[in-house]
Amino acid sequence: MSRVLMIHPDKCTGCHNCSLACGFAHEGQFRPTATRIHVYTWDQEGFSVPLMCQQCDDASCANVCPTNALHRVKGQALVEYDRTKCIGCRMCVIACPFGSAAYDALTESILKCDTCAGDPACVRACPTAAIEFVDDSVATRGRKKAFATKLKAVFEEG
Amino acid sequence: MVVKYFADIRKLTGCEAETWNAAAPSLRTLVRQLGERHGAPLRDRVAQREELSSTIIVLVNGQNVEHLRGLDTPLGDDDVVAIFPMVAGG
Amino acid sequence: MFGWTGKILRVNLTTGAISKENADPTMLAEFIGARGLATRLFCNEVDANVDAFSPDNKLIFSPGPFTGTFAPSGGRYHVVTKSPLTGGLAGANSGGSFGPELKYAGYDALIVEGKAERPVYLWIKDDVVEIRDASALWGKWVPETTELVRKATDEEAKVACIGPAGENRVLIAAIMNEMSRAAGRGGVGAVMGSKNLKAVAVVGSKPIKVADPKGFEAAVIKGRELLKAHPVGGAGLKAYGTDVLVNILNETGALPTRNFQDGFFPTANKVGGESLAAEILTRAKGCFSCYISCGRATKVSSGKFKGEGEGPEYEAAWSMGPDCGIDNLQAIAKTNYLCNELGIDSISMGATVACAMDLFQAGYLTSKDTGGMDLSFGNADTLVELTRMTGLREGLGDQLALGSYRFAELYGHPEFSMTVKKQEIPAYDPRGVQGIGLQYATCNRGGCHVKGYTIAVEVLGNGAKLDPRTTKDKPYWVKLFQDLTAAIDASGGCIFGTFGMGGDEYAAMISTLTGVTYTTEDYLRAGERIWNLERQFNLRAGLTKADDALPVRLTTQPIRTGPAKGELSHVPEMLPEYYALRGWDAEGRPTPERLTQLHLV
Repeated sequence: MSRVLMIHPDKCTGCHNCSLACGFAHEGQFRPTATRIHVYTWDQEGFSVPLMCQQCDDASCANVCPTNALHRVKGQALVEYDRTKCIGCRMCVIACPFGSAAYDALTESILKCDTCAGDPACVRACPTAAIEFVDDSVATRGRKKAFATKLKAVFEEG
Repeated sequence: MVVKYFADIRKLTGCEAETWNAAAPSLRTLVRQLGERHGAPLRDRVAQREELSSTIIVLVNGQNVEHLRGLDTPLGDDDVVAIFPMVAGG
Repeated sequence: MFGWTGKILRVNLTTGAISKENADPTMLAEFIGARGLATRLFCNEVDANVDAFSPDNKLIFSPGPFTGTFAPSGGRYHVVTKSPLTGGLAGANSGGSFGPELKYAGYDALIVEGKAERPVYLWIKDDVVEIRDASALWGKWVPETTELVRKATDEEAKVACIGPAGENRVLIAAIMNEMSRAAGRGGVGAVMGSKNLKAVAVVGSKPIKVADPKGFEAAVIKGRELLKAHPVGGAGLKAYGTDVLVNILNETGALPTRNFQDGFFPTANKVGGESLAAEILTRAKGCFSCYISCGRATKVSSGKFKGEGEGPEYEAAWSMGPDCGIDNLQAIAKTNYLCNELGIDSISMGATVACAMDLFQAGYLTSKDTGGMDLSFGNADTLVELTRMTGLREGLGDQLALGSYRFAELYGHPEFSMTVKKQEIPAYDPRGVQGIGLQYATCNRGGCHVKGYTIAVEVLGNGAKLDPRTTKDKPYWVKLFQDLTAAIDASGGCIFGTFGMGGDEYAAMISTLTGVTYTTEDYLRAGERIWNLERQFNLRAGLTKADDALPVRLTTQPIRTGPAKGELSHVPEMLPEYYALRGWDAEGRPTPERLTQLHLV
């Protein structure tokens, strides 16, 4: 059992409080490119999605990293980044299928979500609980229940 | 008397407005009767411990009961009572 | 520098000169930013008698110190210029993400001067600033303009632009950002159009530093908690949006109906926030760093009013609804989408049509004048069509583009225009709510509710619960709201933050962010300083005490039906006390004593 960052795009209002909190938590200032979480908004339709590192079990970034700077610690749901081993080759940036590993020229390092030592700043900052840090066993409970409710309505009518 | 409900108050009553046939000489009485008809959640939303809730606005004929007699505001057969949660806008 | 960037960007469209200068730290401390900074710079540099469409007028975009930080709902920016509508100062405020991006690019203000020979747009990427040809964009509506500019610059650029309305110098044209956010009032879009400036695109990557990071974070967390705990900031606005006000104003009897002929609209419920949520709401939206999420992503899926976008907000739903005698929510939504797409102020658009409908009913505007169009109150098709025509300046729209005052004047009856200083009065009948009438009469930018929103205490019971029908103490409250609002505007904050946070919280945030200590009193005084600076400009521009007045209808014709039947506005009785509290003489001019106190001499 481990905790995962669960996204609920239907609750996202596009406010960016998550990315503001992320950057601030890591640097104590507001630098837009320092955030490890990005929010994509479609203006006309009013739909927003926050995206961050998915901490993949079989992480492409860790697989291509030549120095093991990016590595998965067994038993933990976190792909860790050891800055001291990083050579800045940016193979991870190429490898990640979600685009969630970014190279930051200012700090000469890779930016990717580190779940803030178990207390993610984005989760605390989100006003609508569009991001949750939950046990993986219950992460999709809300979705399943919402859909099950629809089926219930259909069967009760018939 | 007519009682009207707005915003999320409507979720507690299941309707937007109703004609009130019971005799309710004061707002205090009406609140008690609202509890009997629609349940404690509505009653407690409007008044807690004999006091009008600070997050509720009650108008009688367009006037906020805060400027009348609060829960002791007298009510008559021709009155219109409107119950709002505190709202805002621009 | 903390909170502020310390830099001002100046672009001269006549010469093509682009320069950066340091912001004066004393000016920043005294005027805070956004509305305050832009007004101070504007008044220093522009003659009050300048013609609004002259190249000598300037257009200033300015975010505040909060903007780009996580100060709750603190991501706004202000636009200041000479208004072609009122002849005084125009100051329009907008949310979205444009303001934060301008801060990240490194600027506390962007001053646009002169006039380009041909249509251009600005492309700002941190220190690199270009003036680019916009001839391919001219004529395009706001959504297409935004997309094309992004394609040509950066797909995530934040874009503030005008639509056809601004290009056509419609006096009620707005500047739009992120497609549906508006720096709406006072014709700021027309000024941008007069400079041949189609858009400003920004991408920024620089940090905003914080003087006391732990202190600021603590102040912000406290602010967020207060917002969450407040019924309005915490849940109400997110569930129903601002349009929830339709019913409460109607039940109070102060919902202006049919161009202020009345204050009660029997079918108001059909266009209120409850109906909006049930029928056209897709989801809630929030501006940058917003903790409240009052924005409405909406969609009308089918039928002749089909469309998608944001809103309507309360003001738009009112001006396009009860003010025009219309109760068709879909038509209102469509009209609002059109205003966003064409770049028109949604308040002034609906209210101008309402005025035309009133003139039509009275027979002063005939079918011959309207080219056969039926301008009866309640005609939703006409409202939608007239909006399109106004943005494009077609037919009768060419005259409606002047706003209701000049329109009504054309037809010989300016008294039908419900305006102050020629700007349309918003959605609260001052006969039913006395204090807001005083705000309308005295607001520096003309008929406006939001810069002194006493509705919060006169109707909504936020903090204090005042009787809307009385004039007692209203001058005190109007001044307080005007001063606090000016300070919050100058900080880059959204006024809805006051449903939860107060002067103390704002002062704490601004102090820990900038490193400049503001007591609550200092903060309010900065707001008062800004208010007086604006007033001085207006006086130099030729506005006088005579312009601090409501339309005659509101002081002489009582509300006809509903809970406030029989009421009149008593603004003239409140004015002397208001002037005295402001430290102004009997003619409404700031006294030397007050100016000295405010460091404005």
